[in-house]
Amino acid sequence: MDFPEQYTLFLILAPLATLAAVWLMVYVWRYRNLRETSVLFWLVAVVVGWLILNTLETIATTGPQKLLWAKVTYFFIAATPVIWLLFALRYSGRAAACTPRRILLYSVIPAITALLALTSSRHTLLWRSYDFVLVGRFLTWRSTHGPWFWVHVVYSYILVFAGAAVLIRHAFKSEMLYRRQTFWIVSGALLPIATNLVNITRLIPHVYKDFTSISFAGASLAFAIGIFRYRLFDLIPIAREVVFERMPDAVFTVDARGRIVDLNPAAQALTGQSPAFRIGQPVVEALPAWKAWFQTLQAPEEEELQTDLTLDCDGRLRDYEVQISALHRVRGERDGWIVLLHEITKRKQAQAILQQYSEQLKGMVVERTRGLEAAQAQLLAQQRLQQEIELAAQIQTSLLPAHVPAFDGYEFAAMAIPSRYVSGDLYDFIVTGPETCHIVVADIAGKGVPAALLSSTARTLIRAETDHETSPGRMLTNVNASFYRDLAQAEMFITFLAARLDARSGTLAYANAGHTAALWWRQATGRCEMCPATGLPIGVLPDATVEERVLALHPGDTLVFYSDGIPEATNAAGEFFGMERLAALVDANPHLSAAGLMQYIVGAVEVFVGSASHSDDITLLVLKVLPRVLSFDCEAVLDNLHEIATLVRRAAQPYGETFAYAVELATSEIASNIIKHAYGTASGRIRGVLQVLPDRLQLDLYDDGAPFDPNALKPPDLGELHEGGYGLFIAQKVLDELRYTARTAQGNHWKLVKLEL
Amino acid sequence: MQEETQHLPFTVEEHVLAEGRALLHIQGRLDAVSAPALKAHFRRLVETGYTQLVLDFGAVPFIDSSGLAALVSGLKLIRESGGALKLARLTRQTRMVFELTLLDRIFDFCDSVEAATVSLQHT
Repeated sequence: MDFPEQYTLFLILAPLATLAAVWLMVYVWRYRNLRETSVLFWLVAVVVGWLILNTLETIATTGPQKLLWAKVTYFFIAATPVIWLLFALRYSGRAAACTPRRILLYSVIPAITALLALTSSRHTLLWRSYDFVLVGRFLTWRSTHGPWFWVHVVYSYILVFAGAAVLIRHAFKSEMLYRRQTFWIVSGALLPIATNLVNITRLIPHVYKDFTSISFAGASLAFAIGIFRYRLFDLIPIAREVVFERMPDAVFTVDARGRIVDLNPAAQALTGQSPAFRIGQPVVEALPAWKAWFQTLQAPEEEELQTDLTLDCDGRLRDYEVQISALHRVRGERDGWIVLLHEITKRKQAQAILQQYSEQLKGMVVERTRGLEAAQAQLLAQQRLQQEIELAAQIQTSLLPAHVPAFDGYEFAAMAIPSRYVSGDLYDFIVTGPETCHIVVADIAGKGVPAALLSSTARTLIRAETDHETSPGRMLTNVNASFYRDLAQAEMFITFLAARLDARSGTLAYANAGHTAALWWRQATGRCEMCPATGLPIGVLPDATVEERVLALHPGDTLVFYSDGIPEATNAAGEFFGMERLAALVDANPHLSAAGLMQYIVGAVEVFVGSASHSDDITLLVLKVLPRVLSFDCEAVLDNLHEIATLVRRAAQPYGETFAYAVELATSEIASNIIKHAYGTASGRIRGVLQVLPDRLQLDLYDDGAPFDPNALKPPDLGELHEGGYGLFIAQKVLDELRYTARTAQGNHWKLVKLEL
Repeated sequence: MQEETQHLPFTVEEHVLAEGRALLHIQGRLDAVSAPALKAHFRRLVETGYTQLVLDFGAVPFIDSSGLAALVSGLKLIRESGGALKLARLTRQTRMVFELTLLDRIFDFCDSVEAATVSLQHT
């Protein structure tokens, strides 16, 4: 028995399914750019075709009409399993199985089926027989199956089962997150199979109508729900694999409760800096910034949020551009957020560098502009005269020695202060040997470039011709001979002071050709002595000679050489600074170092001049003979006796053979006495401090041996033959002072003094 | 000259002039360090019969009281043996040491070794 309600039901369900499928086609069309979705589109399209033709066939009222629709329907029936399989393969990421050749292969049998259906009136391969029976209002179609029908059924089932298996397997392999999706996909996969099996096996009695087409529409809908429920990256697992997993940007999803529900490997890499970055963890723990973002995102109209973020990744700051988009359920209810972190550290760094460059450039431009303006103003103000003066000043500066010489026991200081107008002041130190040095001070009586050039020439000439044997008098006589003609022609002359210091003997030989008198401050007298000119200035007479004087310098002595700029410095009242003032300054400051005295004099001149400007430049040289101190500390043995005696002799040598011998003799006597008598067989040390002072030589010897009783010392019977006892007598005799103090803080103390250096 | 001989080691070169007569070239400083060596020379020479001696001080830059003592002890030995001692070529400085102690009145000085040798023959 047949009942018509099944057809009525079909005719009710089929349009609904068709409408749903068409809507689905439109919906899926929006995502057609994804190949996987495009297969779903075609699946739905085939199902829609099937549904429409099945409906047409059902409502057809004549046999031939019905037969025609039934034949055409077979095209869709045969095509559906192939597209179904393709969808399943694409969906599960097996795109490799979807090559055009494979598709062609899968389509061979369905193509034959469709062809046989169209030509079924000429053979019985598909349908052995069919007839039309009226059931109620419906003309129904009944057929008995031919052999190919079973081929078609078996093949279709293989494809559909294969597709379903692929889908189900994939669905269960997917992560926890996709369980709901899995439900929809598995349901969709099983629905058509179940429906068709019911139809083929006639499981429900008297139901002949095939609902498979409708069930395929239902399956498509289930797939769509499974696929589109999570939009974007949940779209299709294959898309997840390709886009999401391999994405260089960190992407993660956050559910409505603020928990991380999924994250890609790039996001997992961030775990390195935050162990809280795990599925199921509250996102706030991983990203404290989320709290602030969430404030904004809570508002229903806030669908997206773009912001910047800096993360500390193992001590390195990384900048990210953050994009947060809301996720929705089908109805538009908010389901969570997808968060994308795009690293822009390099871009930020580049921006920062660019910014820095830009600011530097700006600064440079400003500075340069300022410099140019200043230079322009200066140029306008000074023009040619200034150029000449600058050139002259450059020449002059280049003439001055960069350093003062260094000799043990001597101290040098020198300076030149150019006046407003350049003149030809010159000073130079020419070190001509390990212990000789020539000192030159000159003043060219002319101004500007010619004078500067002349002093340059003079300096070169002197430097070239000076060696350690050159005597200052000879030097100046030669300079006069060489320069006389040039100077006379230029109507100029040079005042010149040349000196040669012999550091070893402590003598200073000098010749002064019309220059200011050098000041010699002597420790012995505590006063300045003038060392006036010994000849005429250079360039006055063609064959002038310059006399030479030799000064025996002593420790503490000071020599001051200067240009006339100092005595002729004038104050506002028109008074000269003068020689007396200068000499008094030197007399009053014997304790100052050479440089100290030089600064003191210059300072005094400046104070004196006050607001009045320098009319001439100032050149000032100070040479100081340092008091010499030698000390030694050695074992008190006779082997060291020579060394001690020689040390003292060396220091005393410059003061004459007799003096040196006397000092050496006394030293030898006292040292022998200490070694032989104070220590005897005991061992100990002998210490000494030797001072070469301006007026005397003093040796202090210390020992820690047995104290000596001076009272026990009998003066020797002179002229008799005694084999000892002469030592202290001799020492006393050759020295000016010999004093013994037992047990001082430094030991037993012998003080030996020899005056009259 | 002074400076050159300052650091020379102390040496005594003995030359036999004749029976019982010798010339000693001394070199180096004569002080507490070298005096014992000179004394030893005196002792040995006198013991072996050399009692007439000329000492050449041309290469002696320095003599102090220890040196003087050695010479005094030598002179005593020689005088006890009836011999004679002549000191030749002392520098102004070394001679000054004798003068200071008035020992210049006791020792015989000669300006040259030849003069000293001649003067020795006359004693």
